[in-house]
Amino acid sequence: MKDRAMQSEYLLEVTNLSKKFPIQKGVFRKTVGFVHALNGVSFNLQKGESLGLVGESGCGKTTLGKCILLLYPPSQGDIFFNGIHLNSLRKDSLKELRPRFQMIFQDPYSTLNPRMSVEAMLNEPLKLYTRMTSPERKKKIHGLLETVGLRPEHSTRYPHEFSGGQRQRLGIARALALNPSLIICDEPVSALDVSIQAQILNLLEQLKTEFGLSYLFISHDIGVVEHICERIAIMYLGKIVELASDIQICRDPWHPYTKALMAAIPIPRSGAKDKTRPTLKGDVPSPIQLPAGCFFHPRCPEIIDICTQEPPKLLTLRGGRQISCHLFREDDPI
Amino acid sequence: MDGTRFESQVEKHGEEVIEVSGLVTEFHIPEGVVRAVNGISFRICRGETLGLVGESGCGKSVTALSILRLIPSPGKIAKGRILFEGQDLLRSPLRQMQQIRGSKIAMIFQEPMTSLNPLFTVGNQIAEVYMEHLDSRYTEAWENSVDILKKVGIPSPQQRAKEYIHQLSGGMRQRAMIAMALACNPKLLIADEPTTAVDVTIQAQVLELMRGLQKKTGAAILLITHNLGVIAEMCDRVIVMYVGQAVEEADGDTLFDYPLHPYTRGLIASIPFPGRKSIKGKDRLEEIPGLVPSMYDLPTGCVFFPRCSEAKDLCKKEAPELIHVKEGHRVACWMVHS
Repeated sequence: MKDRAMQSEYLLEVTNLSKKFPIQKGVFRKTVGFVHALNGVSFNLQKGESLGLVGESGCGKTTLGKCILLLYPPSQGDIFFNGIHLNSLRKDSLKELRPRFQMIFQDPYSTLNPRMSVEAMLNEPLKLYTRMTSPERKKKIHGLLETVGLRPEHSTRYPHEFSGGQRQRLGIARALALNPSLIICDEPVSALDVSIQAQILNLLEQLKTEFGLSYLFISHDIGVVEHICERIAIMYLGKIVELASDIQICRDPWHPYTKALMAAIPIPRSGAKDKTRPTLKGDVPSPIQLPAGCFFHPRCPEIIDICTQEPPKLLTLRGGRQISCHLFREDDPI
Repeated sequence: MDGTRFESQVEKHGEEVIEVSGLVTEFHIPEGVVRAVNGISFRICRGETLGLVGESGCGKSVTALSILRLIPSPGKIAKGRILFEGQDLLRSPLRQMQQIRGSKIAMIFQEPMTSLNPLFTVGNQIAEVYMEHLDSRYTEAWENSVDILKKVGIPSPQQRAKEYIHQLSGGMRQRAMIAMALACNPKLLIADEPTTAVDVTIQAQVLELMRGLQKKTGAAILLITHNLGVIAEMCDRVIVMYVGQAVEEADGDTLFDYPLHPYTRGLIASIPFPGRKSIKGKDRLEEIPGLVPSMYDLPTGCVFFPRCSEAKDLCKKEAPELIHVKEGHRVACWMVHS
């Protein structure tokens, strides 16, 4: 297994990943339709790199995170972690691999067990996956707490004794316990106030360099993602519509949806009062009945004939920008 | 608030709609007395938007609910005066308050899903406003609701009026709530985090709608939000709140260009907005150290001093007052006062 891992160029490679959830009705739970949460997502992540996933609610960001960890079995597509094909792995081999990828969840209130002390919570993974002795584990737990900016004496406390920001630090300590190489952060700061948000973002940044972590950073806030990530993927209705470097996305977005998304964000700066801007019309279509052709065409301001008929492919332009839009050709310069 | 500044404010916007002075709202609970709002004062004129910004628990929403006298027990308004159209709302009989709520002062809540009734159709709920305040008959009220739904940009309003809240999308629900608030052409619109529950593209639509309607009706808006971006785009003047107190008040541009209070400066510097990296490079975000103090156990002196990097001895002993440093710019900080 190790040899193959050495050969792989990417830490994480996702190809053509799809996930649909059945809608069941009636006494016999007959399937009457599907929610198409992911519709062919492909991307890769290098070691030590951070990729941001941005999109509006319901675009499949969280589903993608959970599919990668196989918390949801994907309907289609492949996931490679260090060159190992994850979705064909047997249960016990997968369990062996689990410590390598961890998740930090959005809501620090509902994701910590209220009946477990901090020590018990952090002890569990160490007991399951390492051969440390009890005093070694205790030392490790104290070390973890210090790493995330808490104090060793906090280990006897219960989650309700902590503030929101501190709880999120506990979530981070839990994810770090088994020295993972990939952490999927699912909206880790969206439940926090801005002054606390900055503390957590700085902590994540510092841990990344300290432990050589890779993040798959899921957020609806493009500012937060830009701060943490080197590359950003914009998702719309379960598809990546544009994937490029942070600066390309934030300063020079190309896809009409990315442009609209960037224009819609209010910037805390003087002179912004009464700024008029092109707003997107309407709402995101239902993922149960996807539009034909390009999923964005019903709201797109730059629509052309082909958009209603044919779904665009994800093209890689020169310079590495990936885009899924009929307005662009593969030989376009960046 | 001194006279000259207020005159310039009136000149710019027209007559004053509401004046709140020295508002104190307390909650009496077994652990002690919590002052959720501690001496807030402001005025809003016709067509003007005032923003209240601060972190969760700083008393923004309680201020709004105090104006409508909707503070739930064990809370009560301990001190202050709220003048609306020359009448002190805190001393008005409840019957009169009921006539004012929803007609002259209307409110938009954060969560349309929990603040609209799931058992009645959208049209029905809006019609109730007309029947209650304008004594309309049902058919007439229904027509008016369809009308107002159309005005806030809901497609096929005839159809939508017959639907229930769960059948509408998030953006549409927020529009329905705005429609209900605007039904009686309120003089003052209180919007409590109106866009927190919706996505950015929908947020842009909702803000655009509120601005457009304000231009048409000349309503005064009290906008409560934690999002400084929304403040920058919507507000003429801004009050920054911290644990129930106003720490800084300024007009929108001054607040972002020359913030004076250390808390305001910290807040503005800690936001990672898109494009920040290309301006400032990949540096650490500035953070405000520590936590918001517990409401039961506020520090003596300046409430911000335990987190303030510039705190001096005086800050620990005595609380600074909110005083003028320039025209239209008030700050509560000893460092700025000296």
